[in-house]
Amino acid sequence: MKPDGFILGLSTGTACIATCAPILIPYLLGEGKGILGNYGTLGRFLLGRLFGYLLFAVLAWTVGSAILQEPVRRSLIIGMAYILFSGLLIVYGFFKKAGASCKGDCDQVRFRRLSAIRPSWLPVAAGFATALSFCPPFLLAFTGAADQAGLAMSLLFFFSFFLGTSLWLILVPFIGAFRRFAVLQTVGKMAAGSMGIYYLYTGSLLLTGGLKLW
Amino acid sequence: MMKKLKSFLGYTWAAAAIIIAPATFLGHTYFSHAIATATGVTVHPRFSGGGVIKTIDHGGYITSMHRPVFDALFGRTHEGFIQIKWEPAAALPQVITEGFDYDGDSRDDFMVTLNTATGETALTKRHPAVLDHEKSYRLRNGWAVRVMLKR
Amino acid sequence: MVKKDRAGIMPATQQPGIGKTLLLCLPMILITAIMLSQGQLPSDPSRVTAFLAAFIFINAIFFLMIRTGETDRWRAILFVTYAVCFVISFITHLIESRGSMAISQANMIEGLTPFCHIVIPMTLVPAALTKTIIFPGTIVGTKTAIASMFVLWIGSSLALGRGFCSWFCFFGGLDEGFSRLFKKARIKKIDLRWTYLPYAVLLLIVLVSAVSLAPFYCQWLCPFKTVTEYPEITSVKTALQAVIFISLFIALVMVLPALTKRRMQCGLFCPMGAFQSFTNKINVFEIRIDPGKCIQCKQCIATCPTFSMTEDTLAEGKTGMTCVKCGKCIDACRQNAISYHIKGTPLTGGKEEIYRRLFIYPAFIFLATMSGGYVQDAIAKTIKLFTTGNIF
Repeated sequence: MKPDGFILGLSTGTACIATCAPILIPYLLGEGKGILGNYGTLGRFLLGRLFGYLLFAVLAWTVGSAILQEPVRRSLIIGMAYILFSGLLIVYGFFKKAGASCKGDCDQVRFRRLSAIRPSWLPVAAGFATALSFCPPFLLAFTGAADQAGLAMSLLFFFSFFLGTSLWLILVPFIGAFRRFAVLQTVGKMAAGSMGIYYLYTGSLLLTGGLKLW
Repeated sequence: MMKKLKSFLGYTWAAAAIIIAPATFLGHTYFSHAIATATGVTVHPRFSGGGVIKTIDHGGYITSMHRPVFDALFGRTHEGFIQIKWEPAAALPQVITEGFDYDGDSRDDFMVTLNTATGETALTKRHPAVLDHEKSYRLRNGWAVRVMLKR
Repeated sequence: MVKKDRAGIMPATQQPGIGKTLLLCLPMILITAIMLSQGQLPSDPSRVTAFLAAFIFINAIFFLMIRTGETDRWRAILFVTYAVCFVISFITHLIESRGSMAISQANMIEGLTPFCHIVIPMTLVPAALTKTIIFPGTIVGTKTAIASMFVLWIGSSLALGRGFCSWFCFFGGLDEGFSRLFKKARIKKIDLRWTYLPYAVLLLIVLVSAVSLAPFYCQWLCPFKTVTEYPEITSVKTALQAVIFISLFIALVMVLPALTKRRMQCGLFCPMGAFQSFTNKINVFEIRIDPGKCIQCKQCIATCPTFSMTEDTLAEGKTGMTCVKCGKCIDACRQNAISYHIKGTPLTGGKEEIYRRLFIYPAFIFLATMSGGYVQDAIAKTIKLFTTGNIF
């Protein structure tokens, strides 16, 4: 496992409580299978998500090896990407109201519509869809994966990121019973936003040719 | 009945709080040692330098070699360090040059030269896993150097 | 309905007489005598003066608490004094023993860093998984050792819950002091969404500290480094850390509390406060609002220093879980509708003063004992400064 990918996943994964969990929860509640059944659904959801991430790891490596060969240019581009995406994470964490991104056509709404049919592959597809959601933590992970030395490392980075974020989603089957989910969402988003400040610093260091923190 | 029990428990806890408050301070030393013994916790080796694995008595002063520290939350890190300490300060020569074998193959893996007057340190690497050294640290009664290693 | 003559003053008919007040104060006089002297009187005249001054001051505060029925008014005086004296005592001690407020890497290697309670949440995950504490201190042996602070924290949490933040924390008084600088708040409208920030900071520091095996909050976010100790500035990184500490201190501990009349650092940032809120769930002391007496003037919401009173909690007749049990809302309520309460006991029956006393005894023992040493030390050093021109 790559610790930097895991840390990124673990620290920004609180955002998953705010973004991915709302997609999962209505489905889990709708199925009404109980906690064990919910874990089966979650497993399929995570499988889809992992598949999506690994595809992006390949893409990140391709981007990295195509345009990030020269070390100075590499740290400039990666540094700028970190600054941009961590900036997005800060805006997302602190200034964007819950549900503001969803204008009737987001994953959440689509998933709810499909939930009525309930095919068994649906959680896998939903997991895959959330992997392609281009949320700020994902974009940071993409940057990190592009910065890796080889394809295997990029795959391992995204896999570690997946593990870190998934730890948060393990709580989801219990969340249906949680009375104040909105509070958890707010805290999760703010924690991810706070982490954005940290990555902003990391990006600034990279950009100015400083040292990497992790 | 339940109401009375709850009320009794409430008052009991409140009364216990009056005992807990002074007991926290008066039994402070005892409780501290009890916690430390019961949990067996130690300061993380990244801060303390880890346990001493070898001491060399030079007559007037002692060199202590700590264990290599690669400790992570899970497993081990790729890069770590080993801490070397010399004490007591009063008995140290002005320049110390000493070789160290941390992997137990009876061959020195690195050599440290420390000027105890200025704190200047030089490292001679004799093993590919030895990376560099942090600056030297003047302790209350001696000197310490941390040498960076990779696994 | 019993109305106070004015906010915070117990009706004259209910106030205990001087004799009864002294009797009620007697246990505290004895306890503080033992705690402050630690069993023996100092020999140095300046220390004897300091001991007597601190002893009289602390017991006068308790006397007034019992006599007037007001809690926060008197608590705040001691709490703020405690924080100021802590800073004076701590900084001078550091300079005396280490020559500087800055802590060097060598100090850390030797475990010379005093452990503070804010580090506790960050140490729990690594302690559980690796049986080590991620802090450059010592486990036992000194008053500021790691196990010592754990004992104090466990004891005070059992006794007070998050009352810890108003009766124990040596930093809280700074925030509180600045929040009392002006008579009126300059900023009144604060988005309550920010009250969740301490939980986010808590989550962040627990995770990052566990993975990086270093106390992240101490390294990057602690405003109180400004008035205690900070890492020696040897690089751009440590300089940046110092800038962050000072900026956070000025913003969260000085300016915002002064402008809002709230404890902004404690209510909107402190991760230890967020962590401590959970102890309120199990602690037996709470604040309750009697809906029969409440006239919905919302004075309590306006005065609560940690945003623990909202319209929702008021409707439920209690405070939020972040309540620090300072008693400010109780003092502010002209209807006597708010009181300390012991969970499980009846809400009616006119026992409010008994509940209050049952709370303030343990709470005051913590405040008096914690503050006593620092107040004495600060007084002794001030006397020394004026008499010899040298504080050390």
